[in-house]
Amino acid sequence: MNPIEPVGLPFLPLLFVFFIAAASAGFLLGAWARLVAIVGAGAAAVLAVWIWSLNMSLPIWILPFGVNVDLEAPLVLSGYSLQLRATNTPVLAAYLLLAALALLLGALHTHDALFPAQVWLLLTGYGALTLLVNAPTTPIVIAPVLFIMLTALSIYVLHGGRHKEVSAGLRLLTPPVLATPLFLAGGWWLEQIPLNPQDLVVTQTAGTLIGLGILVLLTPFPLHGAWSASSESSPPAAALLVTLFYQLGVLYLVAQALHLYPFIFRHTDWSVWMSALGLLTAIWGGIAAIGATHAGRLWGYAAIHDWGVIILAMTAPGLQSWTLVLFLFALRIISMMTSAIGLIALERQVGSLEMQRLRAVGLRMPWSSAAVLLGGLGLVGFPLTAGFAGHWAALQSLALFDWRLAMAILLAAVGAILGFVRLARLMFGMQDAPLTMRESALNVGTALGALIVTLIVATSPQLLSALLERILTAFG
Amino acid sequence: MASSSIFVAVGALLANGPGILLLSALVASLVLVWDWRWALVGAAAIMLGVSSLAAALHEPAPAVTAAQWLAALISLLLLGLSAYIHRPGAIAHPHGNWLLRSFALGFLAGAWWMLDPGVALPVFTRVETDLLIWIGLCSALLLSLSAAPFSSGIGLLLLAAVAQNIAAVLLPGSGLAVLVGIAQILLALGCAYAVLAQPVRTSRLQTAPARKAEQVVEPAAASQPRPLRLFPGRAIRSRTPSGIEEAAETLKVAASSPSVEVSAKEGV
Repeated sequence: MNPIEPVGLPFLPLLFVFFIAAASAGFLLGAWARLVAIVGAGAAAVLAVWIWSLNMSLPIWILPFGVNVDLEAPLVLSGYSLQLRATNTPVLAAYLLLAALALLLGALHTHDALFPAQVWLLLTGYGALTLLVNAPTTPIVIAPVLFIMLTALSIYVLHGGRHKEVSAGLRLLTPPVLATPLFLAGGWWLEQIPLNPQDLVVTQTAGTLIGLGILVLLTPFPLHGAWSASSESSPPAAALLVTLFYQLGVLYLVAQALHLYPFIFRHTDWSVWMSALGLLTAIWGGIAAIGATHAGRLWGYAAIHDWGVIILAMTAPGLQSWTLVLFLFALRIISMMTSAIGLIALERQVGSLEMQRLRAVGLRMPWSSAAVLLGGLGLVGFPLTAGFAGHWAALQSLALFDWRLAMAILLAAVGAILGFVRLARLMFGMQDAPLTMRESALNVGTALGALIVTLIVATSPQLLSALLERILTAFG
Repeated sequence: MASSSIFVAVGALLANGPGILLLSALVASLVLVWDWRWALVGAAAIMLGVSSLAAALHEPAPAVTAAQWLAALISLLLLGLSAYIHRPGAIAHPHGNWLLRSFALGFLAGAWWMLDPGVALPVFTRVETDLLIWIGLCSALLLSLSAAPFSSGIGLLLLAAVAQNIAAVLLPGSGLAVLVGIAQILLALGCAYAVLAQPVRTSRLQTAPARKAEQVVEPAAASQPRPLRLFPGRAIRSRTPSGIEEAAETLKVAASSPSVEVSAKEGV
């Protein structure tokens, strides 16, 4: 709390009013969806950079015309307190950056006129989840309920106005709904700890329940199904947004839970269970990718493989490292973004991402096809892609612990690589009938930009160190 | 208070052996009788019953139970309206017939009874805990037996009702029960949207014999109500065609048969 007595305007209400105004503008100006998305992306990017660069040791922001803004003033509603702190600032900035990227993708191909409004609404929700610092009970217990609400909103985003089934979005609701009772019962036990600090049964029970809840929220194998299904049935921009928003939220929740209640891992066996399921997730992602017949689903399985490695890096005893987790997640964002740019262009031109329909498309749309392949291969840690450095570091650390686990992940990655090799053969194979589609200058430009970023990160991953050091303050 | 006495009175009716058994049987019947109208009525009875039971046994603030009732009614109304408007989103085949579903239920109950992991919720009585777990298990079965948005919605709402009950009893001063109620309404809105967005899938069982391939029609195009069936796993018995329809069908089959084509060519 800011020690200096009120000092002008509180920042958080202004921020949330801005978010809601942006969502309303996106809804009302649906006819100009591309323009709204571009302006929104610009605003979100500027806000992300500004919030990232905030010095929270100087919480009063003095405007030139004499009005002060109190950055640390809490926003209190019915006992639930939201506050901007040095620890949650980088996460909020990361959410804004992801929103800016999603809005840019939405501008690239306007699949749904309401997409910009939905992005701002989701950003409002996840922003509130990040900034929630105080509540009548511990905020960790409340988080799964907020996840239910935000996942319910994600159903509209994932549907994207298409005439298709929405079952993937509904399946996404299952983990938070299953996790909520576990967190709530765990919350009761957490409240008993101050009353019986010496009683190990209380901490063990609380740790068991919260740990199981976290495990369910992490959606490892076999709860992973919704991710691959949404990658196939939803617009790539929507799938990217929903996946990364949810997973960043869960990672932040796990970091907070382990920081506040370290006994979740110390007094229980959950770390072993989570790492085993992380390993299975990585293996399943690789195996399932071999037989994928849809480029979107292949992308989804590669992302599941990557997510399995992240879970493993977060939970495996002897490997637990938030630096590695955040490094892998940053590379995941770059790889998924690169793939999504290519997939959007291909889907727009071809009309579908069924592999058989992508035959010889690489000859006419080489840059977008290269973005799909390089981004997808980055998710499985192929050399010379963005994900290589992270996966290599994780495999090395894992091999020191047990070389067989590292080998299993490597073999699973080979499976996913085979899936991409099959896609590449189809894309760049010859076709009897000549294709008439053309790659627009905009698609070439964005795909090229994404490929350059991917190659820069692949060759110089140390460029991310400064960013990771800053964001580590929120997770460490 | 008058309002609290209503909840407590309803709860007191259920807070005994037959009452608990009735609620348990009602939950099981949602899985067995795969019908959207029954699911709506049954889910409403279960959600209101469970919250009233908690009101009678644990006496949370009447406003909390009122919020639980309100959230249950609004969410089920939303889901019911969507199913009424767009029937194909609600009527969907489960993966298996009534026999398989009853086996699954029996297996679930038997496994739980045999293994007896001894799960006990604090503050709740053993019978209440078992009821909540039974609701959770049957909801999971509803979710796993069909990917249809309506049945998924009912399953998710019942699971959320369990969470809401736990929040109301274990964390009474936190306002979490109200928050879960809001989440329930948002969840129901999402599921209702999914029901409305569900494409009309007409399989060969439901269409004329000439249309063999499965077709997908846009939701706005048609929302043909289908007859109520207690056990949808059973093949649909087609209604007796009228004389004109029979003659038209015979002509259609005759026109498409190769022998007719051959004889026509020979005639030319």
